[in-house]
Amino acid sequence: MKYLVLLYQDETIWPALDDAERQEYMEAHMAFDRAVSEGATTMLGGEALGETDTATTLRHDDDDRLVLTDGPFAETTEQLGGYYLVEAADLDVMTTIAQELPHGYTVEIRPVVDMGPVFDEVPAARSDSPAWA
Amino acid sequence: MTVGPGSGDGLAPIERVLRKEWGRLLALLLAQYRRLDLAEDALADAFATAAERWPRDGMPSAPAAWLTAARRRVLDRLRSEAVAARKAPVLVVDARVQAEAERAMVDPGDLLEDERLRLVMLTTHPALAPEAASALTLRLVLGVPTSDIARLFLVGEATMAARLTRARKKLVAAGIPYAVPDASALPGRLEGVVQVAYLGFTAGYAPGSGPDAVRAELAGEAVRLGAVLHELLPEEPLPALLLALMLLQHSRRAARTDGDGLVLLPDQDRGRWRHDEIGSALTLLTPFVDGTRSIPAGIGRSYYLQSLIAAEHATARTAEETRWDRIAALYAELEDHTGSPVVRLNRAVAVAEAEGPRAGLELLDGLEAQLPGNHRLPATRAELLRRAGENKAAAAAYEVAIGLCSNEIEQRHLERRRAELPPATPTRGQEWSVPGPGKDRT
Repeated sequence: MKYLVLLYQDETIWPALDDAERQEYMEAHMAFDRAVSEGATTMLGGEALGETDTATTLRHDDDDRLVLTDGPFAETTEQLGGYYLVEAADLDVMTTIAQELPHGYTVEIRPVVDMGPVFDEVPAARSDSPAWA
Repeated sequence: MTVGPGSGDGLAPIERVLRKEWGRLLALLLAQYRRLDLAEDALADAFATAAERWPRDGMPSAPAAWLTAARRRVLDRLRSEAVAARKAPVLVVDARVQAEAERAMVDPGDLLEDERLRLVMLTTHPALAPEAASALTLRLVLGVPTSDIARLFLVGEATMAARLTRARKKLVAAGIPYAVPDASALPGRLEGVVQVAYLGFTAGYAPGSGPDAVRAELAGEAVRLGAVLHELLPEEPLPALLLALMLLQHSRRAARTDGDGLVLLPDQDRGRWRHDEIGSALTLLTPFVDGTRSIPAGIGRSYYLQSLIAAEHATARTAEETRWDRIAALYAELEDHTGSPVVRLNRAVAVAEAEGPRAGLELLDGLEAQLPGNHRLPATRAELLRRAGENKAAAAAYEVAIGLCSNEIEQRHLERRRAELPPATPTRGQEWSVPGPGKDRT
């Protein structure tokens, strides 16, 4: 199964950390990365995200006109700050490995839905470049 | 009608056998076909047919016959689905487990026990909300009908059906494994498992507006789950302690109610207690008491102490012979262990019995902040004040308790107690004002 691992934390915490504390976070990320590649699991991707004040939210209004808004979709006390995409046999395997991630995070694990043959048939869907590129 | 643990003795014989076999057969079907929806429907169909034919054709030779019928139904459905473009999501089942299930289908033997344990681990997984897990476990492992589970948890049948559907969907969609955790992870998981089972039990004793007696009988299903857990994992202390605790509390069910409502512990007809169940519980507890088995930390210790308290009540021949000094000491230990204000409240009651109402009242001091809105605290205070002869203060405390209480039966009881307050002289009553779910009052 594929899991999207969403990392949440109050985004004011990171800028306030000193170098030693940041180093601990980085080491935890590296430990997670190592655990994923050493186990019966595969790292499919992962990135850190810019802070929510750099987010742009797009929607269409009732007349189907584009509306762009400065800021995230939802205001929350903890913000999405990064993600990983991991292939793992099951939820127990995933949650065991996810314990390597920095303990200051709230980690949400979401299964990726297998959309079946419709999407599998699009050859570019699984390559690194987007399907339209 | 009574539903005894492990037997379902209020059920028709056919129902009893069906429910006994349900979990094993479902576990096997799941391991092989990995489709919860199909396995459940097919097994229900096979059982319905069996129930219909049973009176006509007599006792079926073996549950294997139902398994065959259920398998045929699963295969039919799978075949008809094969033409559909998109396959339904399946459970995560290890290939080896699947192969073993296939072999067991041909030759059902020792493997069955293990299969049921896998099913329990699936339905009690910590990724499910505890109440949903509890309901799902009763449904999938014991085959308890959705309508009964709904009544147990005091929700409508449609609500419960939706809750079960959502939990089933999550099992599959989130990739919760159909597997027994390895030896290092098992004890940690078991804490969650026993809590899920106990939740179903306490739901049956939680005050509700409906006929309480019936729900207490349904709690017997949770006791049956405890018996299954103990049977599957006899070497593990947690299931043994959980089963002992539930047996002791459940053994009083027939004496807890009469035509008028609740009968409180001191007034119960002890002849109506299930002394066979009390005996089973004491047998389970003995090795922990004499040191043959060690008492686990955490929730296991809490179950152990609660069991000992329940055992003190269960073995007292009359209410007057209750060893309140020992019960008070056990509550002190339990409070130490859990830090729970509810335990302190119960301890105050025991101390009042052992040492007098003033000693009990002292223990209630300052509890309001920790138990805001809890009607049992002012109700207990009222009882102790009454015994101390402070009728005016007692009346005021009853007033607070009645205002906070949302359960009709308890409210009526409190009003009666307030009306009974004597104008001056203190009384020495043994009556307690409020039943506590899963506690030692009733």
